[in-house]
Amino acid sequence: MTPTPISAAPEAAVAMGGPFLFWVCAIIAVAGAVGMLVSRKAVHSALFVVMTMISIAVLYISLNAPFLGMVQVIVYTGAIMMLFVFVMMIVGVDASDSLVETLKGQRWLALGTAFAFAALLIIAISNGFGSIAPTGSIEAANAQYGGNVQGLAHLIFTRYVVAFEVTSALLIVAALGAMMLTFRERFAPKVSQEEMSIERFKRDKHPGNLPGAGTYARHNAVDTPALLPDGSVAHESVPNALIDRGSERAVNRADVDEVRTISEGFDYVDGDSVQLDEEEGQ
Amino acid sequence: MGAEYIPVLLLGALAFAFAVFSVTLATLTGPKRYNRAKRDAYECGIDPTPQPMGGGHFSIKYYLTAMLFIIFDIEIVFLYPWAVSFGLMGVFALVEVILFIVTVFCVYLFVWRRGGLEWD
Repeated sequence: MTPTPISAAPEAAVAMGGPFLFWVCAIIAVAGAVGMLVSRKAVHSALFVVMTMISIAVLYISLNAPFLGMVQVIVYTGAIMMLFVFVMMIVGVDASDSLVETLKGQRWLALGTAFAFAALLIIAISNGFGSIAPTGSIEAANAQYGGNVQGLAHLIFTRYVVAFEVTSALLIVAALGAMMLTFRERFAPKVSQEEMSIERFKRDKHPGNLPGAGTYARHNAVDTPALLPDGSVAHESVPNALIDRGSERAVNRADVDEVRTISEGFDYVDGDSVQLDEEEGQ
Repeated sequence: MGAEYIPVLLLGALAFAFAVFSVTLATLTGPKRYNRAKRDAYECGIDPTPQPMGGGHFSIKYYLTAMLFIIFDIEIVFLYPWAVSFGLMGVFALVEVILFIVTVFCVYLFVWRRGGLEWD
């Protein structure tokens, strides 16, 4: 195959969907990048980056590099941007940046680096319009082993095998870093629910649930103590806060009798019931 | 080439249309009563168990989970081309991949033994 000029990338796009696809995706990608910079909410910035990433992935696919495109979607939009959103979730969306420079001269260094990077880009692109010819086209490389993924696999597992194996070391470093930053070592063994339960039965006089308040709902029943089966009043059934506030309600024996009468199937016909408001055990 | 991506495009368009439709419908029809409970991490139920130390909404422990996900995600990315062209490559690639998996498996063992997978 004759060497094609470096503008083979737009030409491949032409072969697939015309320059139309390239221009649409390029404009969306740049718009996403600009939106990331100007949006005031961090989550909106993250979503703009997702937009950029996806349109770049479409460009990769249109340039006959489907594996790169898919990995771009899976790793960058799927995993990396998810991590970014996780960080926002943990830090809090409304956390504000400090406007004080902590690194001295950071602004000038950033400006210098930006200029250097722009110069590098301009030189590279203008060289591309010039005389440098690529060693082969991606179509030829794809066809050599029957497909894009197969060709990539052949390169990864033969020529770049050392880099491939070193990547696993990189992954180990990443895991160690994540563990170092976020993990707190446990020095005592984890207490299971079973052990906590056994401990509670050993320690407390009242291992089970406390009796529920309000056996008859004549009032806001939480402030009314429960009656135990033998008829005595269970003061521990009233929440401590109510007792401290002094708003535990006394049990009205007449009400209890009324409820019992009704529950045993008799009609309750006592219109002027006697008020036996007694204070129990206070 | 290109025609095989039409279903993907259609699926994407469908997903986008559904998202726009749902959000629009919810904005038009749903009640809008904002209060403090709406700003909680979870609208109902108890607070998440590992409480964040600095007062954020979520514990930093979630970050470890996300990070471990990315590590094993990248492992899968490398396994995919190998699996697709397994017949092409022979024993050498198999040994390489086994070495790779064993090395990344050390990460798993380390995290597991240190208790990074436990939740409390």
